[in-house]
Amino acid sequence: MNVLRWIDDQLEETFMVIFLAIITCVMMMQIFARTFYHSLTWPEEFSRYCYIWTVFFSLGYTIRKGNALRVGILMDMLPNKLRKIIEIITNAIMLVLYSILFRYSIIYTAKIKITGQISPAMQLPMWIMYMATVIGFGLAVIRMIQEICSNFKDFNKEAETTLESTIKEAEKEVVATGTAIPNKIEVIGGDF
Amino acid sequence: MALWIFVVFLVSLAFAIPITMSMVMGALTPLVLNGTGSIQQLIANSFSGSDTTPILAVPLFILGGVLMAEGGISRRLFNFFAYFVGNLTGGLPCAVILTCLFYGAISGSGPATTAAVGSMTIPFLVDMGYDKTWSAGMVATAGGLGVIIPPSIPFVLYSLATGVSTGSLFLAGVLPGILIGLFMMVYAIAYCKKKGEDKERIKEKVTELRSKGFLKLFKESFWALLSPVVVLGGIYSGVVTPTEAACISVFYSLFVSLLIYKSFTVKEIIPFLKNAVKTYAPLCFVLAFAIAFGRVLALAKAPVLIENFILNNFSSNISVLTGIVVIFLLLGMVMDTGPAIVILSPILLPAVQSIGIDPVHFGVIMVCCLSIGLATPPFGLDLFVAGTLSDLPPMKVAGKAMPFIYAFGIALFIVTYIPWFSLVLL
Repeated sequence: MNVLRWIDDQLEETFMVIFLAIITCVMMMQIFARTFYHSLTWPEEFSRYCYIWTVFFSLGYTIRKGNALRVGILMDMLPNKLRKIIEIITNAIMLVLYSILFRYSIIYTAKIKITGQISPAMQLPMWIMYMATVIGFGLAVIRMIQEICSNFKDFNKEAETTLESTIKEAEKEVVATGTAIPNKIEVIGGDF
Repeated sequence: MALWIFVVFLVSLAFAIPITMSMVMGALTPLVLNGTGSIQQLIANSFSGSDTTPILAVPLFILGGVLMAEGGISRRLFNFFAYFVGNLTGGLPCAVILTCLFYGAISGSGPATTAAVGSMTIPFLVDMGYDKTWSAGMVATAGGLGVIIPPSIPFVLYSLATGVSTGSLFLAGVLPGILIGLFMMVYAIAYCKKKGEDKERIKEKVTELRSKGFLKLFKESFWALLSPVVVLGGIYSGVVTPTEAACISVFYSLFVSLLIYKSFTVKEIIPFLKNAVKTYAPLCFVLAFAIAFGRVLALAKAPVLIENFILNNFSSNISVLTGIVVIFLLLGMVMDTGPAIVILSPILLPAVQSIGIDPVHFGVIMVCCLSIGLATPPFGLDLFVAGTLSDLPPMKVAGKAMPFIYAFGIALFIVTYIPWFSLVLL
């Protein structure tokens, strides 16, 4: 059960953190190698591929954490119930799109595998890199299903407005500097 | 066709569909309507869109900024500037703006600058008898300087989207950033002259600071002052690429924080990595897909259409620039800086280039406009950060920030109409 919760909470995050650490260290190693020895061929390609995996993991991550960038100002003006209904419909549309992308990423990766293409520097088969698209879109499909389920579960709760998510984001920035937040901001009516 | 792509894209945005998926919908429009393009091509483009080395500068600069925020660097910088200007009229507020300017040369992000500088200076200014809301408004606006003074994440994004050199953009940002800072300082001094200051308290504090001696203060702030020299010096001496400079900034922050200032320990690094991931994850796929989306738009001849529209409807460069500034200012209020840059700059650049505007100058204008958006209602993140720090409602902060925003705006128009400021250092 704990394993499942861990996967649910931080599967993508863990991989992204590991990739970030690897990218940083490998690039630094390359700078040292170039300065004191000679430039290595593989670090640049290796970091780029780590980043590509990060990019495709970020799909599931942003759906799970609910922090995808969007323009929410128009939807904020609608009544809560209507917003919730529209949210379910748009999420369903996105589920369909992600499924299509997932399906075609499998087809595309299979194609690459048949061509037997290898990467220029590390000589690794390219289809392994393209697996990032398959796993990324696959995770996105799963996360989207989760999201739609919770849409139905929380149907009667108030929807989060752009204002509330901006407040959350601001608090995150403040916490990052190690300052304690004095009090939660209270949004007083009439301020907007 | 280009029109249909835009319509689908904008309608998706209006329904609060994430920007990435709105782009996917827009990009699939030609396929649905008349069968041009293919989904596999789209996947291949989003893959190759991320398969570049310059893009790695984005996560690395963000990580560097996150590490620096914790380092107590803003306090040391502030003490350094307060030593020189503290006793003058409006000196302490000016020291805060100077700290923001300099901190911008360490961090590439506006909200991070506001948080790091504000957490220390707002309580201090209040203690010195300045109005709390006014102090918060000042830091919220000055935080925007963080993205104009290099290194700057929005400039990296503009460079990725248009192919303009990151190094040139960084250089171009220096003078406009200083000019904007100067205008804000002029207002701050005028305000302090009019309202009066608690001269005795300030004198007491500054004397206390000066009794430490210049050498000790310089020694304390030395590593903070050196940081931009290391990063920017590395780029301009040609020793490292901007991406490698970003990597060096991460290790420099680690070195200073772990070994010199001892502000955190090795064990605490993981939360910083998580924090950096949280900051750039929403951007990752927007970046990757913006390139794929841009290709679809180019196939539909969108840049040509926009170019013709601008050439046929506007008679002079000044009117084109004014129109663009107004659009960016409005856009900055509702949309995040990153996506706005990567989506719009490739579409608009051919048009503005055809009327003789330098691509570097255009990048500076774009980044300056969007960075004001960080301090304007309704969703200016800097306002919310300053509000959280000072325990005030963000919209009250916005009220006091307005004069600073006007000062910023005047400087912005000067930067827009006189390309000299952006281009003289190149």
